Amino acid sequence: MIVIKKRIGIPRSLLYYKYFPLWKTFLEELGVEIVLSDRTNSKIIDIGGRYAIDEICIPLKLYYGHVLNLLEKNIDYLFVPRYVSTTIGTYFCPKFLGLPDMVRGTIDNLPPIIEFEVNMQKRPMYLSAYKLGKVLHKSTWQIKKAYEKAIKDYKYFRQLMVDGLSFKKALNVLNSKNRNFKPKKKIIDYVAKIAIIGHGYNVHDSFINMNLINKLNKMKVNVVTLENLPLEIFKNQTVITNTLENYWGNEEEILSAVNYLFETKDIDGIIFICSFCCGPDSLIDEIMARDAKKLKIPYIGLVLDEHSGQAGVITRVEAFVDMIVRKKNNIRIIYKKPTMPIGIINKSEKEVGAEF
Amino acid sequence: MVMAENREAEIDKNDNLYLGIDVGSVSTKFAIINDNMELIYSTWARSHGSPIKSVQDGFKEMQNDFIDYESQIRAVGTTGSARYLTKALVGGDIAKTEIIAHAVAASYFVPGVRTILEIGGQDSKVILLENGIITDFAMNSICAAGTGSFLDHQAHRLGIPIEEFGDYAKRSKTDVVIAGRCTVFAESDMIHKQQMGHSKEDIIWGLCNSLVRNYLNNVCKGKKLLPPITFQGGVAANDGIRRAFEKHLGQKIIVHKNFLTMGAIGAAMLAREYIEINNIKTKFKGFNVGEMKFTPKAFNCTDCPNQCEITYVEQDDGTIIARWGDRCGKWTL
Repeated sequence: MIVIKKRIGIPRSLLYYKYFPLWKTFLEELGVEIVLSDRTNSKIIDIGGRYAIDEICIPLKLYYGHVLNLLEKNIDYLFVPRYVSTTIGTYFCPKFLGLPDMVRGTIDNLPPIIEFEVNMQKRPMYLSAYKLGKVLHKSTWQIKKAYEKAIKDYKYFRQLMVDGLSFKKALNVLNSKNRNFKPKKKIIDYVAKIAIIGHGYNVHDSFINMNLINKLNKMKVNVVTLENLPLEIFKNQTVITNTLENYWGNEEEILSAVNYLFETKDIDGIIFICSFCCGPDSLIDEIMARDAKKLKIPYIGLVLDEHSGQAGVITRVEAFVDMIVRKKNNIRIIYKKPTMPIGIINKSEKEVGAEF
Repeated sequence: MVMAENREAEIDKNDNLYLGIDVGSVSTKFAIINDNMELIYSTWARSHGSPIKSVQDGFKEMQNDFIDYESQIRAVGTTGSARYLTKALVGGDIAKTEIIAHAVAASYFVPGVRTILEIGGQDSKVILLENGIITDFAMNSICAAGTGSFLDHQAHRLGIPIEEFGDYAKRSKTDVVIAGRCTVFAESDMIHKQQMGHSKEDIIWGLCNSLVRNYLNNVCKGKKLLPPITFQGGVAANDGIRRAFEKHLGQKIIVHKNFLTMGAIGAAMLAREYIEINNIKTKFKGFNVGEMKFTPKAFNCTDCPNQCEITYVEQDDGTIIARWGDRCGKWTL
C-alpha cells in the first residue's frame, strides 16, 4: 500500500483555468496539501519550450514549464488528469487525451503521477472523482463527502463568475472560505463592452495574452469572458451548419458563447484569442469571423505564440477599441470638406469591389 | 536629413494650429494643420535608428519657422509604432494607432473613401470604411513580406535607388512571376530569375506583382475591397506597386499627394478632436524639444523570474518622462 504524503503539485496551466476550483476543494477535503506552480513567467516559457516538440501549441509548452517548475517545489505527487470529455458529444483535443503520457515521456525524474481519466462518454464525473479518491486510498464515504462539497464549491465559483467576477477574483473568494459573498453590481463607466473569447488558459493567463484584460480595462473597456455568460447557454450542443455538429470540447464552449453574443447583440465587439497551431481554433475562428461579418459585429482574432511581438498585438487591440468607440458614438470628421476634389474618384453606384 | 517638405498654406496670426507626429519604423513624419484643415507644413525623413534623435531633428528643422507661433499650437497628437515615446518626449495630448490616424485623414482628404491600403516600413494594413466610419481593418501578422524595408533591401541588392523602382517597373516588357509567399524565398527566386537572364525591369515589375498578390492574399483575406481605394504609407511612393494594385483589383487606385504624411495629419486631427471634445489645454512642451537632452536608459528588474527589461527616458532636469517594459506594470509611468 502506498503511503500518501501530503504535497500534490498541480501545474497552473491548461484546464487549471477551468477545473481547478473543483479539484482544489475535493483534494483539500481529502486532506491533501496542494502545491501550485508559479504564475507563468518567462523562465517557465523558456524551459517549457526547450522540452516540448516544436509543433506543439504554446499552452502545452507552458504545461511542461509548469511541471518543471513544480519539480523545484518538493512535491510528492504530480496531478495530471487525463481529460477526454466533459460533455456528452464532445472530446478534448488529442493532446489532452495523451497529456499524462506526454509528460511522462518528456520529463525525467518525475514524482509519481496521479493520473485518472475524466470521460463523460464512459462514466459520470463523480465516478472519475471516485477513482481519484481511491488512488489516494480514501474510503467511499470520505470521497462522497468531499465530492459533494467540491461540486457545491464549484457551482458557487461558477456563479461568482456569472455574476461578473474574473477568474482570479472568483478564486480569491473561494480561497477566503466565505460562501456568502455576493459581488456587488457596480455601475462602471465604460466606453465599450468587449468579449474576450478563447480557451480559459489563453484568456486568464495574463502572461500568454500579454495582460490583455488589464490593458483593455485601462482603456475603459468593460471586458466579458465566456464564464461571465449565463450557464444555461452551454447546455445544448452547438450546430455549425445544419448537418455538422461540433465535437471539440473547448470549442463547444466558445461557439456557444459566441452564438449567444450574436443572438443577444449585447456586445460592442468580440476578441478571439487563439494559440498558434491550434487546429480546431483556426477553424472556428473563420466560422465566427464570417458570422460576425454578416451581423456587422466587430470581430478580431488574435493569434498568440511565444514569439508574438507585443507591439503588433497592442496596435491591433488599440485600433479595434478605437474603431468600436468611434463607430458607437458615430464620430466622423466634421470639419468642412475640401472644395476641390482631390484625385480621381470612381463614382460608381454599383458595388464593384474585389473580394478576397 | 529632411527628404520631403511640403507647405501648402501660409500661417496666420489668428490660426489655431495642430501638430501631428508619426514615428514609424523607417521614417518620421511631421504635419501642422490649421482650423481649415490646410496643411501649413509637413515633412518626411528617414529615422536612421533612433526615434528620439529623429523627433528632435524634426523639431530643430521646425524651430526657426514656427517658434513665434508656438502659442498657437492647440493640440499635439502622436502615432506610429513609437507613439508613446514621442508623446512623452514632446508632451503630446494623445497617442493613437496608425490605423485610426490614416483612416481619419483619408476620410477627410478622399471623401467617401471605402478602402485604404496602407503599407509602411514594417507593417501593412488594410482599412475598410463606410460613411466615414471604420468598419474593419487587418494588419499583417506573422509575415512582413512586401513592406517598405524589404523593397529597400531589394533595391539596394539590385543596385538601384528605391526612388527609381517605379520607373524600372514601368519599362518592363514581360511578366516574370516571382515567388511571393515569403520574402526570403522571393529573394532567392529573384536571384534565380536574374541568373536565368531576365532583365532588372522585368524582375522589379514581377516583384511588385508578387508583393501585391501576397498582400491581397494575406492581409486582405476575407475582405471586400470597395472603391474608392486609396494607397498610403511610404510604399505608395512606388508607382510600380500602385500599378500592380490596379492590375489585380481592376480599380483606380488613388494616391493622394499627402500619402506620406497622412498618418501625421490624422494624428493632428485626432488631437484636435480630443482637445475640442474634452475642452482642455495642450501639454505641448514647445519647439525647443529639439534642444533638450533626453537620455534613454535601461535596467533589468530582478524582482521576479520574468526579468523584464525596463527602459526609461530621462530629461535633462533629471525627471523621468517615460518608463515601460515591465509585464506587471509597477514601473510603467
